[in-house]
Amino acid sequence: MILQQYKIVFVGSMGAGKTEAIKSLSEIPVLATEAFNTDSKAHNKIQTTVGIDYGEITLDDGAKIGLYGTPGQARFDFIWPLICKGALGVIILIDHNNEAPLEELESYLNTFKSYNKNISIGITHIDENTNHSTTIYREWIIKNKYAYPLFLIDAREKEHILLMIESLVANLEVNFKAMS
Amino acid sequence: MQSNILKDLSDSMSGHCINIAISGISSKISDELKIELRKIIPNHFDIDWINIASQNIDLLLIHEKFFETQGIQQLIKQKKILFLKVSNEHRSVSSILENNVLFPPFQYSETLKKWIQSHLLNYLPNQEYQGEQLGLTASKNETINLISLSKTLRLENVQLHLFDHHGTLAIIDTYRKLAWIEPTRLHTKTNYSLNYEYAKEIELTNIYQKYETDLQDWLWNLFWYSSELHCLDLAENEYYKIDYWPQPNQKVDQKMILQLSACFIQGAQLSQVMRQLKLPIETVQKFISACIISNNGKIISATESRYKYNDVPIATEQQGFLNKFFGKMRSRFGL
Repeated sequence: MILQQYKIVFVGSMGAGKTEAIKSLSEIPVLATEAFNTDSKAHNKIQTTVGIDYGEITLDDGAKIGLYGTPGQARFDFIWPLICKGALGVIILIDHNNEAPLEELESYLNTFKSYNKNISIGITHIDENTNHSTTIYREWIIKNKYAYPLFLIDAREKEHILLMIESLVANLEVNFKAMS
Repeated sequence: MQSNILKDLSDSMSGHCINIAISGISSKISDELKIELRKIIPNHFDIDWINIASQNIDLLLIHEKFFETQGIQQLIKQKKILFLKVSNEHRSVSSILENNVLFPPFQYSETLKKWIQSHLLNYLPNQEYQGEQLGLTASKNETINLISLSKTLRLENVQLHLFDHHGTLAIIDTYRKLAWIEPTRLHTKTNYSLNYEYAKEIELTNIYQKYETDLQDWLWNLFWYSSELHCLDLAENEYYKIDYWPQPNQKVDQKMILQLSACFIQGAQLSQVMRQLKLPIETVQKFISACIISNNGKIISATESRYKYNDVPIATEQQGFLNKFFGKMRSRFGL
């Protein structure tokens, strides 16, 4: 596995759109390790990621930013600290269709905030489940007094993923300027 | 009350807007026509969707079955109104046939576009700049309306009809925190004529023909992107904390909005944020005003602020490197 100096990490539940998000940004074909999904209870997608998705972008000076997508299943939790160490930020993607999206979000957040403080949350597949209100996420943020950005997005839309990355950059900039 | 306000505004705006009346046409077809006409008519012309009884009709869209009725014939002859008859009969390609009858579907109709250009637009003066000038005349009433609107939006269970001089903007429900936006005004702006009333039964039953979206985000974006709306009166030394990051629905200003959010999510003083981000105080006030209107956050005391502000930043090598790095990232991502 290539570990770049600069990294952005995508994590989240199965089918939330991590691979699509990386594909929308990467300038190289995404190294995706997909396999047939045998856990149809968790999600009905045909294939799912069983390793690390990897994409990258190159800055003007040749520096590369690695885009890493980590599997959502807990059995891969040994990889998470390795990838998150020194990352510019972590993007958590949650599928609004999940049975208990808030519990899942809470679980990811509790795990990943110990690896990286700069976190942005994206709620995906919002058009596919009109029975559940999306207002629950804002209410949850307010109730817990969290300062993380949370956006309703389509992971296939490059502009939406860029919005999330911009929020990570804005957070770094503002907090770095304030401390310097 | 609303109709009087709209009439007054409509009268005062008649030199700047194209006034279109639609009559005898189902609301579904009417909405489709409104969307197509908004796409066809250049943005520097505002469109007022007015009642057939209104004065100064520039274009009348009338169902072909009602065209021959005495009332319509009298209206057209007396006021010499430009008209277009609309049929229900679907054709494979949209077209305007003889005697000014338009057949659905209306989407991407080159024929309709040409007709509007040759029959309507060619006879109107170029009013591109008049609308902009008008926007500068915001009155004190605007602020009163905004404060009153903001208070009403904090009520837990009300349904409101939001409108301005162009007509309906949205129906909103404060309990479900949803807005149903008028299909012709999805990427809308408004101005000093923004107003509201409690929604009527008929308006609530028609919401399913409209586009449903999150109320607070929609309100925030409406306020931020409506450059003609003035800020609420906020002192520079006030501290404000937002409850969550607003989600911009346009690329314009995205960087600035997210930087402001990153500051105010921690609770910050307006003047400190202005200095750190090197923004005019009006921009910071506008951001907070949009948050107040959309019920996001509150004024806090200085002791509640967690924002660390360094009045005299020291230029370090690390700072220089990071600034350069952020610049390169923004340039690469087009942020």
